[in-house]
Amino acid sequence: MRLTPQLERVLSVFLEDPTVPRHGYDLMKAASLPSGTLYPMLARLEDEGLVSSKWGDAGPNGRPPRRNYLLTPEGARVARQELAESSLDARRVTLRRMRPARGAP
Amino acid sequence: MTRARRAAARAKPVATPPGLVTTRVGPASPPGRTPAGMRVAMAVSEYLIWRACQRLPRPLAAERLREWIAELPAIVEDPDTPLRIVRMAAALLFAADQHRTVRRYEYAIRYSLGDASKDLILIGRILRYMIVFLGISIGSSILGAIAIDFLGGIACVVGVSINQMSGPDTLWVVAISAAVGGAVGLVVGVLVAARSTAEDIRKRWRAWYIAGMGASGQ
Repeated sequence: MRLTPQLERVLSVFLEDPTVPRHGYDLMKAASLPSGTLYPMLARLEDEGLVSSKWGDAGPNGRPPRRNYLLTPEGARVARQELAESSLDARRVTLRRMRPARGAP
Repeated sequence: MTRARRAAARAKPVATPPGLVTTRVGPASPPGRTPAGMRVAMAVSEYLIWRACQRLPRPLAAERLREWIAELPAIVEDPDTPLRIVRMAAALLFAADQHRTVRRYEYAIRYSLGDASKDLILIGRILRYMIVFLGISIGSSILGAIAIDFLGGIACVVGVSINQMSGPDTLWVVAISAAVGGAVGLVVGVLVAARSTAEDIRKRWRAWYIAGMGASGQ
């Protein structure tokens, strides 16, 4: 799995509470992603078995049932691992930038 | 009931519950009280989603149509967005972005680089032979034919390069560049022909015919 900034945002939203199923629009808002980016990403995560989806109940006022997305246990594990590695990489880069170049006064 | 909803209602995959048939568009107000602008925005959004889903493989299309249309009421009733016009715009953007993405994916699948290159090379060859034929037919000298051939070839190379650099959405660029190249070639051919006499053309045809006979060993 290649961790793009967009995917990182989606996984972070899921990990806020991995037990809460999320609707597509809620994820779009929380991750600040357009629908055209989010839905292909969700489809890919579902194909890889990291996210599962199921249809919810019909909403009030005759609203149609919406699809809920939830991280699978494997998805939660992978997401945590990936985000931790990404954060570690970012920290390494920051440290490397802060370290003075060899031979500098 | 809009076209999109009818399609969504007809397509009933086993794993998905029914629901869109009873869907009412707009905020929680009595039927018929939904603002006209909101109804139009919803209809346009549903149409865009329906169009997008028509491009998807059939089982996937029914499922996605149901899923994306079900998100629209949630968008236009979003309590976090106080302005109705912003909610309408959000619904339209949602649908437009789905439409754009599906189109992009469809092109990416249908015109993968390998296939596109093969098609374009074939088109390029046909175009070049046509232009050479035109040049030989109406040109007074071999120079005219070479110039026309060269222009057609350049048009094809430019088209293929732009297509490969810019991605699968730019197939129209190839068509335009080939057409422009062909048109320029034609104009050059006509201009050359206008300066040549009937005798020149007859000589040219004869030379070409003799050369062809020689090449075939007769």
